[in-house]
Amino acid sequence: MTENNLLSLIIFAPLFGAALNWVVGGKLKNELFSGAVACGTIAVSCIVAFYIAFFADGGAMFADKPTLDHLWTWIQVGNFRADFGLGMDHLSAIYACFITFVGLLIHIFATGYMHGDSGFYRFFAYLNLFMFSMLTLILADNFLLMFVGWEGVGLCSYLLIGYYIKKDEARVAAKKAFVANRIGDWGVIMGVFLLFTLTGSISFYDKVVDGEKVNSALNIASAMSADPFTWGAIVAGGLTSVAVLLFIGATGKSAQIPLFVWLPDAMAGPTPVSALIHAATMVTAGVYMVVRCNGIYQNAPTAMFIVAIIGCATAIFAATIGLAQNDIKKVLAYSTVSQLGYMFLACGVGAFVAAIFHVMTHAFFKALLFLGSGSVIHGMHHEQDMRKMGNLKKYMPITFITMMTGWLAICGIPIWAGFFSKDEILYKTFATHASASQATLFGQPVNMILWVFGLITAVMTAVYMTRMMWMTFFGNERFHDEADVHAYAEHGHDDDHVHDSHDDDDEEEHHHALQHDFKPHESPWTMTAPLVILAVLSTLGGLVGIPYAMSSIFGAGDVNKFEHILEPVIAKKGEHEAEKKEAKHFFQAAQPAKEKAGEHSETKTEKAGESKTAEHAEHSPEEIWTEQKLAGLSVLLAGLGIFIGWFMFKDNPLRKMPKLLENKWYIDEIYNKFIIDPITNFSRKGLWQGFDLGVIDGIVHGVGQFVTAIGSIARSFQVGFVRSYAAFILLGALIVLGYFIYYGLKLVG
Amino acid sequence: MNTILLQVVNPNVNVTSILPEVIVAVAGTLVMIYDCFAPKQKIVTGAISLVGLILATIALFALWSGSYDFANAWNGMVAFDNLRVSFTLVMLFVSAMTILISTVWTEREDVPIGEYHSLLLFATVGMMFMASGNDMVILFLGLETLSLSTYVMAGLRKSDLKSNESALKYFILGSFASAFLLYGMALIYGATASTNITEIAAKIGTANFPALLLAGGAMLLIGFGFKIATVPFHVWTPDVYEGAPTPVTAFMAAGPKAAGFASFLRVFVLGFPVVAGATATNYLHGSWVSALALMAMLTMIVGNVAAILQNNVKRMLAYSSIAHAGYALVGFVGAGVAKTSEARDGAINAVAFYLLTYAVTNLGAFAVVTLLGEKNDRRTEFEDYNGIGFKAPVLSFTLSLFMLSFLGLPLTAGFIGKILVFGPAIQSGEPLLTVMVVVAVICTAISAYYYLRLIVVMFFKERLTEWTEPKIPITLATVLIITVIGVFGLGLFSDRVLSIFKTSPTATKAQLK
Repeated sequence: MTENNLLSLIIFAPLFGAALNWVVGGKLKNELFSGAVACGTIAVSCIVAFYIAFFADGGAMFADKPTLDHLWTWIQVGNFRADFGLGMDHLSAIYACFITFVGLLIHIFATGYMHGDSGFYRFFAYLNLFMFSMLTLILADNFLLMFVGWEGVGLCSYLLIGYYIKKDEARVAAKKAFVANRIGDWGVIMGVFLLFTLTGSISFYDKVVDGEKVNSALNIASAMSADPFTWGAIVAGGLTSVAVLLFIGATGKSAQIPLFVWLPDAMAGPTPVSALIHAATMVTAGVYMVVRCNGIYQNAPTAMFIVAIIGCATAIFAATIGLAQNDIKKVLAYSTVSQLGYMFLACGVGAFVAAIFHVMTHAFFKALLFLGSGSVIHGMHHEQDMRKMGNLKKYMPITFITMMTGWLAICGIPIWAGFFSKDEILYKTFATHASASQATLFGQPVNMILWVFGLITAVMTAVYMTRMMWMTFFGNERFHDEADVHAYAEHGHDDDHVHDSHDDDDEEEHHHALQHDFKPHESPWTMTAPLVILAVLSTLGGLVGIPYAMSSIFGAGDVNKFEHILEPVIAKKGEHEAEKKEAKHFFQAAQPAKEKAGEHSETKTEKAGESKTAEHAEHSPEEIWTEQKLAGLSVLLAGLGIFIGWFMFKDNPLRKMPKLLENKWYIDEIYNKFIIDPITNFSRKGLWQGFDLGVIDGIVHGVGQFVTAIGSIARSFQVGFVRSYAAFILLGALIVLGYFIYYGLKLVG
Repeated sequence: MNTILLQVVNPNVNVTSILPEVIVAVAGTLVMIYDCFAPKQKIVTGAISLVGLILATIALFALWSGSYDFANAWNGMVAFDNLRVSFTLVMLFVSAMTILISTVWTEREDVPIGEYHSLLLFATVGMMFMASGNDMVILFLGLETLSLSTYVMAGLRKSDLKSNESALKYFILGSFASAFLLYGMALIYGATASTNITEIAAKIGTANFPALLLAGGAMLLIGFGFKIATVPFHVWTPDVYEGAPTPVTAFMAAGPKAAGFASFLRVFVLGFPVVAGATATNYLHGSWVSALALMAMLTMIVGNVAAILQNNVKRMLAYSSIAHAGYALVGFVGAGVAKTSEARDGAINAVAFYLLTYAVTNLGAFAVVTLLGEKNDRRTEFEDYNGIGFKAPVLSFTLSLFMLSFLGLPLTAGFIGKILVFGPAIQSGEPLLTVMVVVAVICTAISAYYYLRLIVVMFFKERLTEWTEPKIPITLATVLIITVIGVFGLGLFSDRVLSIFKTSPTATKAQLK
C-alpha cells in the first residue's frame, strides 16, 4: 500500500478554483481572472494526476498496489466504515489522466466560447465544481465517497444544463436530467446497501487504516460463488441483485435505455459542457462503475446478460435516431448515447478492458467533435441547425480539418483511435467466453446477434456522421436561406429544432439574426488549439491499445500496453461448469462446438500469467486470423457507411428523413403519456389535493380548533395553567412511580 | 497551578481538579463586582465572561493532557472521565455562544447586562458541576445553582408580562421537580448508605433495603426527566421557552439540557449497573431502561407532532428541542444496555456528541431568530419569515442550513449525531430498543415537514409588507460563522471531535472500573 498525500490535491485544486471563482470572481467579473483560475487549477490537477500515475513511486499505473490517500474517517459506526479516502489504481489512473487532460483542453476552449457571457465566472465555478465531483467519483476508495462524487456530477450537470436560465428549454432539460438521474441514483444507493449487507464492507481496496484492516468489498464479492444464470437471481438478493441495481444507476448516468431521454435534451447547455460532461467524462461514469465492479458482474451472469442486451439495444436505437436529426448537437448527442451502448455491450460480454479503451478514445474524438461543433456554432453566431450551414470548410479550415479526423475516428477507419477500440469490442463480442452471452435466442447464440447488431450500428454511425459532415462543411452555402427554412417550418412541417433556434433569442448578448452580408468566421486560437490537440489524440490515441492481431501484421509483437495495464483490475474468474449448465438450461439449447472452443481458450487464459511467453501463447493463430478477418470486415463496413452517407446526401443534403426517426420513435411522447402524466396527475389530484389539503391540513386545522376549543373552555373556568401543568406532571410521576413500585412490591412480597 | 501548596493544607482539597469550574466562578464574581462600579458598561463584562470561558476550556484541556492523579481528590466527589470532559466542552461552548448572541438583544431591550452575564456564568458553573460531580450532593448543588440562575434569566425582561410568566412557571414547576429529585436521592442513600456514585454502583448489589432502590430510582427518573423535558414532564417547556428572551431560550434549550443529561447519565448508567445475581438491581435496571425507552418514544412523537402544529418559530423550536431530547434519550438507553465498558463509554460519547451537534445547530438558529425578532420578540411568527429568502440571503441560507442539520441531512452535523445515537440502541438487538429506533427514524421523517416549512416560507412565499434586512453585528456574525463551520465540521470530521471526547486520564479509568 502506497500512501501519497498529493492525491487529494487532484480533487481539491478544482474545488479551490470553484470557490475562488464563486467568491472573488463574482465580485471582479473579470474574464481573464476567472478563466485563469479555472484553467490553472485544472492544470494543477492534470500535472499531479500524470505525476502520480506515471512517476511517483514507480507510477500508480504500473504498481501492483493502488496509491492511497486516507484523509479522514468519515463515518464509523459498528462495523460500518466509510473513509474520506482516495485511491488510484490502474483503472482510476487512466480515468484521472484523460479526465484532467481533456478537461483542461475543454476549459481552455470554453474561455473562448463563453467570451462575453455575463455569467462567465459562474460558468467556470460550476465547471470546476464538476471536475471536483468527477475526480472524487473516480478516485474515491469506497462506494459511499464514490456516491458523493456521483451525486456531485449530477448536481453540476443540472446546474450547467440549466445554465441559460432564461431559456425554457434549458430549464426543462435540466429538470429532466435531474429526475432521470435520481431514478438511477436510487439504484446505486440500494445496490451499495445490499453489497454492504452481503460483504460487510464498502471499500474498493484492501487497506489498513489506523491499524485496522479494511477488506475490499469487491474482492469479497469476487471470491463468492457465482449466481446461477436465471431471471430469479435478479430478485434473490445476491450479487446479481447488486449488479442489476448498480446497473440501473449506470443507465441513468450513462444514458442507456430506458433512462437515456435526458442526454439529448441536455444539449441545451453551453457546448463546452456538452463536450466535457455529456460526452467525454460524466456519462462514462456508469461504465467506470461497472468495470470497477467487474468482480461482482462476473459472478452475476444474468446481470451481464442484461448489460449486454441493453447496451446493444441502446447502440442501435440511438444510431437510428441520430440519422434523422438536424441539430448538429443532437446528432452528436445521439451518437454519444450509441457509443455508450457499445461500451456497455463490451462490459456485458466480459470485455471490460475494451470498454475502458473505448471510453478513452471516445473521450478524445467525441470531445473533439463536440468542440468542433461548438466552434461551428460560435462561427455561425449560435446557429445550430445544420440545414442553415453548408460549405463551411471554406470559412473554417482548422475546424474543418480537425473535425475530419474526429469523423474518421468515430467511423472506424484504421489508424484513427476509434477503429481499434470499436473493433476490439466487436471482436470480443464475437469471440466472448462469458457464459451468459453463449445462451441462444431464436436458435442463434446471443453473442452473434449482438455482434450483428453492433456491425449494423457501425454502418449507421458512418452514415449519420457523414451526413453531418456533409451538411455542415460541404455543398452549397445555405446560411442566407433563412426565409426558406422558416417557410419550411411554418408550412406545418413540425420541427422543434427550428423552434429551438428561436428560443435562443433569450441570450441577447450572443444572438444576432444572420445578416445578408454574414460570413462565418474561424474561431480564436483558444478554441482551435484544443481542437488541434484533440485531433492529434483522436488520430494517435488508439495506438496504445493495438491488439496483437494487428500489430503482428507488422511484426511489432505484443504492443497492447493498454490491456496489460488494466489486466490486474479485472478479476480472473474460472468458468464454472454449473453456470454453463444453467445457461444451457435457461435457453434450452447451446452450441456444443462453440462451448468447446470457449473452454479451450479459457484454460489458456487462466494459464496466462504475467510472463511474456505465456502471453504469446494466448494468441493462437486461428484467433488472430479471425480477428484480422473481422477487422477487415469492419473497415469495409465503415467504408460502406461513408459511401452510403456520401451518396445519399452529396446532392441532396436536406433529404427528408423518416418522420418516425426524426421524432425519436416518439419515446418522449410515450414516456409523457404513460409515465409522467399519470404521476403528475396522481401527485396533483391524489397527493396534493387529496392527502395534503385533505388529510394533513385537516389534521392541522382540526387539532388547532380542538386546542383552541379546549383553551377557551379552560379560560372560562379560570383554571390556573401552572396548576394544570403541575397536575399533569404529577400524573406522569404517578405512572412512573407505579411502574417502578410494581417491581418493588415483587421484592417485598 | 499551585498544586503542591494546596495539597499540603489538606490532601483531599484539590482545587486543581476543579480548576475549570473555579475559573468560571471567579469570572462570574468579577463580572458582578465590576458591574457594581460601572453599571453603564456594554462590553467589559461580556469580554470578562468570554475570557473566563476560554481560560476554563484551556484549563480543562491542560488537566486532561497532564498526568495528575485525582483519584482521591475531594474524597472522590469529583469525577474524571470522558463523560465530564465531553459534556463540559459542550457547556462551555454553549455559554460562550450565548454571550455573543445576546449582544443584539441586550442592546435592543436595555437589560442590566452585567447582571445577565454573571447569572449566565453562575449557571455555567452549576452545569459544569452537574457534569463533574461524582456525588449526588454535588449534582444537586450544581443543579440548583443552574436552576436558580436560569429562573432569573427567564424573567430578565422585567417589563414584559410573558417573560415574568415564563420565569414564574419555570420556578414553580422546577421546584416541584427538584423535590422529586431530592427525595429520590434520599431514598437511594437510604438503600445504599452512600451518596457517592462510584460507591453506590459498588454497593447496589448488596443494598440494605432493595425495595427503596426502585422507589428512589423512579423519583430520580422523574426529577431528571423534568430537567431534560421528556414527555410527560415536558409541559413547562413551550411556555417557558416562548416567554423567555430569545437568547435565554437558546441557552436553556442547549446548555441546561446537556447538563441534565450529564447528571442523568452518570446516576443511571454509571450508578445503576446490572449486577449478576442481585434481583433488585436487575429490576431497577430493567425498569429504568424500559421506562426510558418508552419515554423516549413518547418524547419524540409528542415533540414532533406538536412542532408541526406551531405557527410561531420560537415555539416550533421549543417543541423541536423536546423531540431532540428524545433522540438523545435513544443513545442514553443504548448506553444503558451496553455490554462492555468501552461500548458504554462510546454510547455516552455519542450522546454528548449529539448534544453538541444540537447545541451548535440550535444556537445558530436562535442567533438568526434573535436578529430577526424585533423588540419584545415580536417578529417570531412563521408569517414574519415570508419571502425574506433573497432579501437577506446570508441569514436565510444559514437558517436553512440549520434546519437541514436539525433534520439530519447527510454532510451536516445532525446526520452524524443521529447515526451515532441510534447505533448502540439498534446493535443491542432487543425488540423494544429496535422499535424505539424505528420510531426515531419515522419521527425524523415527520420532522422534515416543519423544518422544511421554514425554508419554504422564506424562499417561496410572497412578502406583502415592507421589510429591510437587519444589519448583522460582528458578534452575531462570529456566532454564525462558528456554527456554520461547526455544522459542516461535525458533519464531516466527526472523528476528530469524538477522539477528544474519548480522552480520559488513565488514572480515572482505573478508578471507574
